[in-house]
Amino acid sequence: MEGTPVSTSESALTEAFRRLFSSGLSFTRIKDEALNDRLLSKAGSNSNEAPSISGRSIAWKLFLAKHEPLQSSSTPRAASLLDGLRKSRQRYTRLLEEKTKPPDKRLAEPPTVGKTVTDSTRNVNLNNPLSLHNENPWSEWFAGLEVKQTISQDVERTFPDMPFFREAEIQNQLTNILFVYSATHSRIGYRQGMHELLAPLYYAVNFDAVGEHASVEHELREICSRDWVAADAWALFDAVMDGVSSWYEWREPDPRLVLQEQQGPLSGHVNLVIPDGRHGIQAWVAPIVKTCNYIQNDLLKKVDPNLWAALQKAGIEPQLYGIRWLRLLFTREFDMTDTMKLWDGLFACDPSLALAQWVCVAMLLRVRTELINGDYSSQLTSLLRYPSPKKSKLNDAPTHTCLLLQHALTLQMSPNPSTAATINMENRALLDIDSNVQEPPASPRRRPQVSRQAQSSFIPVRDRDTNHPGHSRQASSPPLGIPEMLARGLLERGESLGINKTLLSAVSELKRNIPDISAFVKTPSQGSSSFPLEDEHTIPERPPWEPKSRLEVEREMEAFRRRDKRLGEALGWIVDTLLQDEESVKDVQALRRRRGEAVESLAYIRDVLISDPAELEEDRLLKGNSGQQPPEKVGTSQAEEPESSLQQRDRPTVIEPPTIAPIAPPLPVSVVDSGSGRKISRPPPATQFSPNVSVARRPASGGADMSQELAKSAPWNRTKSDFNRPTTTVLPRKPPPTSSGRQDSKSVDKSREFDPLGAVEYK
Amino acid sequence: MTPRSALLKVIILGDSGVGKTSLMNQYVNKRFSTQYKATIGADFLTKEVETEERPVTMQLWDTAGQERFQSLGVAFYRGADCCVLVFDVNSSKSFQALESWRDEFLIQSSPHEPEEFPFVVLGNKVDVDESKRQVTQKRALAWCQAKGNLPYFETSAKEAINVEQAFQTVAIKALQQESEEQLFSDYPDSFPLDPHETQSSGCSC
Repeated sequence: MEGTPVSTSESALTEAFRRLFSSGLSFTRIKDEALNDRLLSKAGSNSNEAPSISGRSIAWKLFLAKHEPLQSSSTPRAASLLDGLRKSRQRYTRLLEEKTKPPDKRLAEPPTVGKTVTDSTRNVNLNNPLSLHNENPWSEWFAGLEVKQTISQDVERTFPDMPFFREAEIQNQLTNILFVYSATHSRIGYRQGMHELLAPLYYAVNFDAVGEHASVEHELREICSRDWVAADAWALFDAVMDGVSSWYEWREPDPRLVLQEQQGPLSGHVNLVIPDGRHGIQAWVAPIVKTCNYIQNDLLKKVDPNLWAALQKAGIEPQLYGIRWLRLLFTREFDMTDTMKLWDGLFACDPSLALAQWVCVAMLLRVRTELINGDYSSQLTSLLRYPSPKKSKLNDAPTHTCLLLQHALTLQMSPNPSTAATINMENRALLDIDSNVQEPPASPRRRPQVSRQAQSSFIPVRDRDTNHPGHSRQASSPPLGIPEMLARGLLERGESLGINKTLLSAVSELKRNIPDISAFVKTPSQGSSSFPLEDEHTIPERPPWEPKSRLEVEREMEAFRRRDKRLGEALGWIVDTLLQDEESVKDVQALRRRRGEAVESLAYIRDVLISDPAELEEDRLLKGNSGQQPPEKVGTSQAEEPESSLQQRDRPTVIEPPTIAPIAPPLPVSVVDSGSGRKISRPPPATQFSPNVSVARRPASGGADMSQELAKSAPWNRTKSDFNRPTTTVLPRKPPPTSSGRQDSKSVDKSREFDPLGAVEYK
Repeated sequence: MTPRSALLKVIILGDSGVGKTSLMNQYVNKRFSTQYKATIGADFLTKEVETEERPVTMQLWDTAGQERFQSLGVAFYRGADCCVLVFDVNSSKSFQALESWRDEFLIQSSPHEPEEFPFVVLGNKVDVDESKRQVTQKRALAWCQAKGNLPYFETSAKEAINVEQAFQTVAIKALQQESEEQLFSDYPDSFPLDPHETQSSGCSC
């Protein structure tokens, strides 16, 4: 390979290298691409057999680099990466020398083992293999031999199906790396599972390794030097272990050590007395157990109470599956190729691997049906022999690992049941390709036998939508999935009535999929005639054992239906507003303002659906025109459009809408504040966007040209994105503040955040 | 007692690399592979068994040789009906470790009658050349005798020697244990342990 001028792998490696370091991609952007499995080209892996792809190890080195925390906005520099690598290589060489050479070899004049007793030189009483002295370096050496034996026992059975790991030299290197790690981390030492974490790292580094004479750029040659594969793999392993090592802890730390380390009041560990323990032992709870419990009993419970209850009822202890999932970072749950893809995203997101816990939750959601329907044994089977997902029939569908990562991120950003419901539907639609995608798009009619998730051809990704209003980001989204395509297909017909129907079914779909509401809402079949809803007053016969009185239930149903109708009308108005063509409107500013309001209203609808308030705030729902625009008018022409908010004081030139019950104009709201307009408690800002801003300034995303950018953020596309699947959301990004999501606006660009439509323009 | 299908929980313990996973797979799937990965945490398989009394579903729990007891949780060990202790006849160390595996198991599972709790001891890898053998049958039997006459089998997961017989014994022992444990099911978990007292209260059924 080294002799040939430019081999395929070398050119692929060069391509990857240039993409990372000379294409001007910011670090954030690189991470983004990695998460979506788009960072590295697959061309380099000449065969589909190899689990890795060219350049992956460079990306990992970049993500996991300890030496220099990269600024998210800056572009990574090869030189600084190289600096760090040089240092870690030196360190590894030193440690290897120090930890693996027998003590006699380390001495300047090594005494031979046989002569030590009679030799009266220096510290030989201490330094001889038979000395019982505590500080005898030989005792450490012998203990090390035992550790090495344990390690090599596992190394020998590392990925037994891969010939690569059967080579003696590779096994030797892996053993050395693990030994050096165990020697430098004496509290944990070597634990089973570490070998399987190291192996993919080593594989990836080795995959990219080039020799001295490789015809690639100088820096690349040094970064991927074949001479330093082991050292680099060690550095990566050491970095990964920073995030994972606590899950390997198996013994109570020495209190003295804890004090030395200034960890505070036993931060990571709890001493508890088992109340009914006959032995009265003070049990130390291993961090892995705590993490597993946290995943199942906090995180999962929060996002999917039903699933949690099912596991709880069966008595599934989270560590039964969690230990393996977490310690190995999912190498047993997915094959090597998929594992590496998953790691791309995990490393890119956060070197501390905090996302791994949410990956676990997302994985639980993926096997939700099996878990809820199954008994203890079948539940365990699903968890311990995690099913490999079906191959998506869609060519442009995201890989299931990508989907998993995005689910994990979404859950992390907004841990609530509706996120989980959305994810369930997406899993159903994208991974479990079944009849429901072939359903005629126009009538997502319910069939009695199909489970709830299976229903949805349309996926109202409400949470996604609300949590990522920065729709400019859609520019770098992967291609559309089925639900979107269906939805868009419908919307693009421009048949307004149809649109309303779609939205309405989406809303009712959504309602049914919010666990809390769905528990008691049994919406009668809402087919294509679901709008208007007057003809749907038939209530199915209730059995006598129904806990609520019939009257109560009917009343409840009535209320819901009324609310549905109101929401539907509001949505109709929103769609109308959003669909208006900018070019055919005289007053573009006013239109934009209305769009802003429409989005406000949409956000309110979301809040209603999430929080299920007792009463609707009409003025927040339909803004200026208070819902007087009947749905029949939806298709009417431009001039007749309701100009809901046009009576606002600063826009006197616009056409007066046929408003019957105008509401008092709310207080003006500052533009910057608009992100928080999504909060339920806040009074509706009528003037969402400042009229002064006028020039479109899209955040640069991937250098797509301006008109394309605008087209993507145009209302019709935006409406479509209501039915989006998460893959189109470019992750990871900090979520904008929402009523339910975490608030972290540190890195959110305000200008993106409050302009989901691209309706606002900037100077 | 009605002859319903019983669910028996069996836990397999022993040092890393003695062949726990291999034994379990040989028994359940009648297969041997040199390609087993190290078990991380725990793994399980189920097997339907016909005993003289009634059909039995055995839930076999394979554990990692290096796993510490506290990480799998007390509940994992609590409901066990039988514990299989495995060592490698070619490794003296793995044999010596049986003592602590047994002790630790009893501490964690806190059975009502620790002295009576059924263990089955398997000396695995007897297919390996005799010259490499480090634990004689006599030595193993002596230990089992001392621990209350534990059943001992010399097995080979690779050659399928004695595996079926060993697990049949496991099933029978577990079934007995399960019926006995039912006597205690009315008592809370913290029922004070006193072998004499429990015997007198337990024999009336």
